Amino acid sequence: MTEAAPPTVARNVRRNGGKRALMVCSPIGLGHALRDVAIARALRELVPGLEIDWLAQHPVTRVLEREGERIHPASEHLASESAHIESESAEHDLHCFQAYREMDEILVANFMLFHDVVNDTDYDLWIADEGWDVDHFLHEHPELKRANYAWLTDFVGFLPMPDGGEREAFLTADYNAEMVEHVADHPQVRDRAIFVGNPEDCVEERLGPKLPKIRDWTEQHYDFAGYVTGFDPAALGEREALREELGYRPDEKVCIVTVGGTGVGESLLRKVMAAYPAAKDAIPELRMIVVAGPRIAPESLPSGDGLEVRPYVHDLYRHLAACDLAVEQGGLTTSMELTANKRPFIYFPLEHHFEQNFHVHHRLERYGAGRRMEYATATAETIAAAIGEEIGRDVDYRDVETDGARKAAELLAEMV
Amino acid sequence: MRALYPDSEGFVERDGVRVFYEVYGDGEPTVLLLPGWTLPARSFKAQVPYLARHYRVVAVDPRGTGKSDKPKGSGAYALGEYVADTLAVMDATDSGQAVVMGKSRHAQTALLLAGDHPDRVAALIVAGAFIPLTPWPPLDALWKTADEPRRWRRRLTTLGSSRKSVSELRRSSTLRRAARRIGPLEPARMFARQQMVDDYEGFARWFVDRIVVTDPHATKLAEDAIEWMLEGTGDVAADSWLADCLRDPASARVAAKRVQCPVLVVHGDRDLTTPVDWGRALAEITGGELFEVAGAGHLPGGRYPVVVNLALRRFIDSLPSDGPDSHPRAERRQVAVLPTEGDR
Repeated sequence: MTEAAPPTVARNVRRNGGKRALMVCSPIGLGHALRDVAIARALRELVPGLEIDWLAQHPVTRVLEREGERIHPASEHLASESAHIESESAEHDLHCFQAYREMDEILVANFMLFHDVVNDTDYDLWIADEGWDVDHFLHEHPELKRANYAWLTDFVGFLPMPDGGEREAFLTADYNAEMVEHVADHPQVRDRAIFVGNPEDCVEERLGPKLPKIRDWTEQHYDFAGYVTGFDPAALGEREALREELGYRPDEKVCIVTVGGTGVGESLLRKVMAAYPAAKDAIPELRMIVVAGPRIAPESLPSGDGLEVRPYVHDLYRHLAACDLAVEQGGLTTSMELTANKRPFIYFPLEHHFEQNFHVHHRLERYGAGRRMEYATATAETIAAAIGEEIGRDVDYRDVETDGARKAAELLAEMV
Repeated sequence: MRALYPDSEGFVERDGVRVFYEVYGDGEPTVLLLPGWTLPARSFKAQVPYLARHYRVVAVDPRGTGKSDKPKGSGAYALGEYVADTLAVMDATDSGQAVVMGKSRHAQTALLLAGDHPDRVAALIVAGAFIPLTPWPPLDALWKTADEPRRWRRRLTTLGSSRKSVSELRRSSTLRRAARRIGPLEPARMFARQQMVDDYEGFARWFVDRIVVTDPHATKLAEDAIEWMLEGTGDVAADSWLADCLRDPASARVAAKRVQCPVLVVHGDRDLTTPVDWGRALAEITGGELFEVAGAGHLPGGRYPVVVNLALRRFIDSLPSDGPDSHPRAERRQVAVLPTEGDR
């Protein structure tokens, strides 16, 4: 699929003769921001002089500002997908397929903004990392495509939650069928489709009745970059030195509790914090660090002896590499950072979140990584007990590749 | 969550009936949005954020929908009442002149407003216009048998028996497609006054799923439309369905010919609610632009919002900036002004 020469050519070359790319980065979680920054760095190495503008919103922009990336000024007009997702969530519960459906007007509004931006400025390459609006509407209206276009994702296929019944099974299949039709009818839209992962990371399910198997279809229509960690574990150096640099003493057992970039995870933070006293009784050397993230006010959470609450932590992956245990949602990025660093961790998939419950879970099983717990049934006692069993444990996870960003950048560089 | 929230909102009141509106953005010109039958302003959710980034948008919940009052009796839903409500909203929002967009049934409201108040309407946009410019016997029969649905088939035969209407019907791909989706007696049964009153949810589901949102991969649009309809009641639906409006080609033609301003007609070419022939005829009579949305059903702005939004912007940006008087057609034609209630 990817051999076909792109039919479209950007309208003109930049004044300085350099090339320009527009990166559209999903703001749902921080994972896309971290991996896209790594990919952008690798891409600029391969295409000297390449300028990359980002059409992105909070909390992605927070990462981009720290990294010195250039945020397109139109970004301030984007309708907030993060705030929408938070508004759709209940206590550790996010029906992300329904939240996506309810986001329809936000996706239209943001695509219209994207269209205005690319109308005003010629880009040689558009990159959408789970920029759902861009991918959907370009397939609806291929005539609007005016540059080379690359699509990235880390999962393929909406999957129904069992309690959604026949209706949800019908709806997810209908959305998947539309995707299959889009790609079959307009193969010229995606000049590259890059799966952030490997074929084995695809679940065994079908896209729906009478639709292809997810793995088969993904293998036919995607290139595989492998996982993109956004950092090189080898560059972290010796763990002891890292711990010392980050202020973690050798005699402490450090447990980091994190819920990523959205505000959805506050109830999990509170539940794990409620397990702290019992865990501390069992493990006197326990030090629990709770990372509230950019969308939860840290002062809204309790703290105490050996229990610290921190706002956003830059380079969280370094802390995760240094810790003795992490507790988190089942989001892909944090889970895979822990897997790559071979740290023990406990994860609680958000209820009704098909991606965390099926796609991420399947991937972690393949790596042999993490201990899954269910938020609904977990108590302070069971969480404290699990912390005691997992903390400092030796693990034997499958290795995570470290060249994913470079591979993705090579696939992109061919189109600039 | 909405993509955009209004900068202000309010009610106008006429004869004790309150009508709700929202205002977004502060650009030029003002674009006033009138949704389809039984639908509130929210049904423009795919248009409002984009339009408000470039223009000022005033969106109305017509009486009987959304947050507006729901008066009783068909008289309250006569076309003239809607026109007067719209003028009152324009006055309340300091919209001296606006580009007025009406969908489906409220394309009639927008059409009359443009014809009767040319000083207030800079341009007219209609989408899926319910303006019956060609004969459509099934519809006539529905109106005539609303209280006696069992007589619908005989009425249909009688009304359809003129040679002209039979030949028109035979050519109609809309009717052939409709016949494949809908049983022959279903429309009469569902559009009966008592049916709407007794089981409005059943009516709304049937109407949306069988007739309005016929596009593939449009489950969310259909769910939304049903939810928005159910903000109203069966009584309002029946009263407004049977209220005075443009029902026949002759009166529709008279109203269309009175329009002097620039016109954009948006119509899905697979619309089962209002035949695309009506949109084509309207564009021809008014000298307007026709944007047929390929493959779209009755709500092209919902199913294919991107191309509809771009067509709206292209049209609005092409309008002369100093009002309709500079439009060449306005100089050639006599402008007829009929006073209506609420006219100043």
